[in-house]
Amino acid sequence: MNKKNILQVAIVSILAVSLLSGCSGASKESTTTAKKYTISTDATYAPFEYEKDGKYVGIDIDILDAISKSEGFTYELKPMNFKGIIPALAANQIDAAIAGMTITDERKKVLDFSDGYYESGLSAVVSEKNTTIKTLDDLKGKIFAVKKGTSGATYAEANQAKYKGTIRYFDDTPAMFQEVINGNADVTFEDYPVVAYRISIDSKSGLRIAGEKINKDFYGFAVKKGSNKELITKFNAGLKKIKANGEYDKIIAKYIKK
Amino acid sequence: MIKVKRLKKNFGKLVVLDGIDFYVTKGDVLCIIGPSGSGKSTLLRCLNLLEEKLEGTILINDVDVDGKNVNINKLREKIGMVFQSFNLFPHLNVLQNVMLAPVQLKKMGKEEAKNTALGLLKKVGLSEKAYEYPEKLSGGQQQRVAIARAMAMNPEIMLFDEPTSALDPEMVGEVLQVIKDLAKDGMTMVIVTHEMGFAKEVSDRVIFMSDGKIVEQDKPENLFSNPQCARTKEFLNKLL
Amino acid sequence: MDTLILFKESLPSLMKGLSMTIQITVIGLIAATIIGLVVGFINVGKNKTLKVVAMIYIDVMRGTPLIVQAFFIYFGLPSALNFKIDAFTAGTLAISLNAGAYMAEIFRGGILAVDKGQMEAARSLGLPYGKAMMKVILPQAVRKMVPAIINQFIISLKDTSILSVIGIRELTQSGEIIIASNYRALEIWAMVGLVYFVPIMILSTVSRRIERYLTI
Repeated sequence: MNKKNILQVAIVSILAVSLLSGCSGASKESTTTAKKYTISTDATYAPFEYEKDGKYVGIDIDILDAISKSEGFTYELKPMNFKGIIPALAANQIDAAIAGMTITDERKKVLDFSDGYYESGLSAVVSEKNTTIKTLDDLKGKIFAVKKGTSGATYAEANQAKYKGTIRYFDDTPAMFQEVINGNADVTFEDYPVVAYRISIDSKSGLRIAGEKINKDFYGFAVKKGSNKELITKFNAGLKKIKANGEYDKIIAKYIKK
Repeated sequence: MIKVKRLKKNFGKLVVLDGIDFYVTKGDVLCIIGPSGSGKSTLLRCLNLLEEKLEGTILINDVDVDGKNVNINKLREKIGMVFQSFNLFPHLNVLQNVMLAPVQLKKMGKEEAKNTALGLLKKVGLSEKAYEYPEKLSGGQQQRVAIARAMAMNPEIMLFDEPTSALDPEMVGEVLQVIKDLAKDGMTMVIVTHEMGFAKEVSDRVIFMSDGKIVEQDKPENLFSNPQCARTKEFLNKLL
Repeated sequence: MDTLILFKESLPSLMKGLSMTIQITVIGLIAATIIGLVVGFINVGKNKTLKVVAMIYIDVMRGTPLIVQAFFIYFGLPSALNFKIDAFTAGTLAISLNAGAYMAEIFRGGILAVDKGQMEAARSLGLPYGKAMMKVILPQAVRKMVPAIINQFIISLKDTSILSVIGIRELTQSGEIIIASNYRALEIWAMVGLVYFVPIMILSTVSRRIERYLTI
């Protein structure tokens, strides 16, 4: 009898424990909303998002992760070519994007942005072998390599007449940089932290920042205009929280050493 | 003119020519007869080197074809070949078919070649078809053009590989007539054929082949009326 | 209509892209035809070493995607071997090598499809191999190959869209750039599709006409 009782208790306990652990796993998903968001990011844009040891890491990734935990929502991360992100948002294929995306008036026509979560700005980047281009005035008649759909591309297009330059378009940052390193283009316009990061971790990067920062702008978390409003609210709330509790600074410091 | 010694040829493991010795002298008209698979066509094709022999010697005008400085193309210019399936060039008209080789091989200029060609076409009775394309001609007509084409190179010897075997019976006669005319003109010829009557009429010598060997060769009047070997007798009996 | 206005505005840029597309395709295919002839001949010839080389070339070109080949030629080789190549040359080269492999197989097939007796008759007349090929075999083979060649033309024309990844402003990239500024993906892609469709339809119709003409 005793043995039978012990066996029954044991079975029930095991069941209970497994149920409970199952519950705690499920409870994460069943808090405020059951919806799992599809959130896009650039396929490769270090230090904001990049693949390391089979996982995606970076400032954007960590910020999104921290905020999602703080505000209680789940998401599936979808890395893709930057040029495809805004069309995907417009076509409702993804709910949101965090991709080192600069907040611009042009984009605000089709997207809603969160509060700016990172201060950035364009810089002109040349091959380290290039000694002639020192400031923006030296850009006359040069060949610009840019990435499709970015603020760097917009800058080049807006100033093309002024500099009488030629523009070449690429799908991703590595290809764009390679063009400059190879010497097939003279200069590219890229966000300052991305170039600085690349030069800092790779002594053979082949790149050099020419002149001062061109402008100052902010990265934003984006959704399709008028959609997923609650996600923007949550992001803003979460951003405030992680800034207040120091987690934000920790994340930045992890990737950008002063 | 052509001397063949101990000629052997295999297709893979199959022995097709098993030690052939024969000769052709200038002005000879030779007919080769025998059952299918006896090696008749292969022998003929070895003579103009379309088939590569395994063993043996072939001498053309006392020149060994294996010789170091032998130009096979030049040799072939002297040997004309007529195929069972005519092999006319479909993308060229009749006149161009006949003119092609002489012009390309710089044997004569275009005008001269054209005249020669027209002359040959007249000889084979096809002047009016000079500007037609081969597909518009009957089998008999195509074969006659093929003969004219081979003759355009002014060969010393003509080889015929079953020239009438692919023809409807009504057309066999016209082709055989052309060949007979060539024989009358003194052309040296080797003809593989199934047409016994024709062979009897036109040849100086008939060769009977079986199983890759020459079984018997003799003047036609002797071979056909009084065959010496059993195999020959057997073959000729089956034809009657 | 808003779409019509968009069409009118976008057309110049798309036409420029189309011009680039056609330039690359035409030059690429002329080169591919030459490559195809040489390699095709090697494959029907007797030199065993050359045949192995040809086989490797064909297998590699058919066994790797064009986009990888383009990256390799434009980004890979220059940085490894320390030379400079411009995008247009690299892109045209990629198309040439790629299409060349397929052309080689088309030529080989076409030549082999010509009756064996044709070569025999030509050689029997004393024509050397080269002349026999030029005057007898090839004229017949080419007729058989024309549909396949035009087909390859169409395929290569569409393949040029991949070259946008090495920065060439051909038709597809022109579309991408327009969309990046006005986000009207559906309409612009429909337009791009149409602009590809027109020359390809013309090519297809020409191909069918030629086929009919050659089947006398």
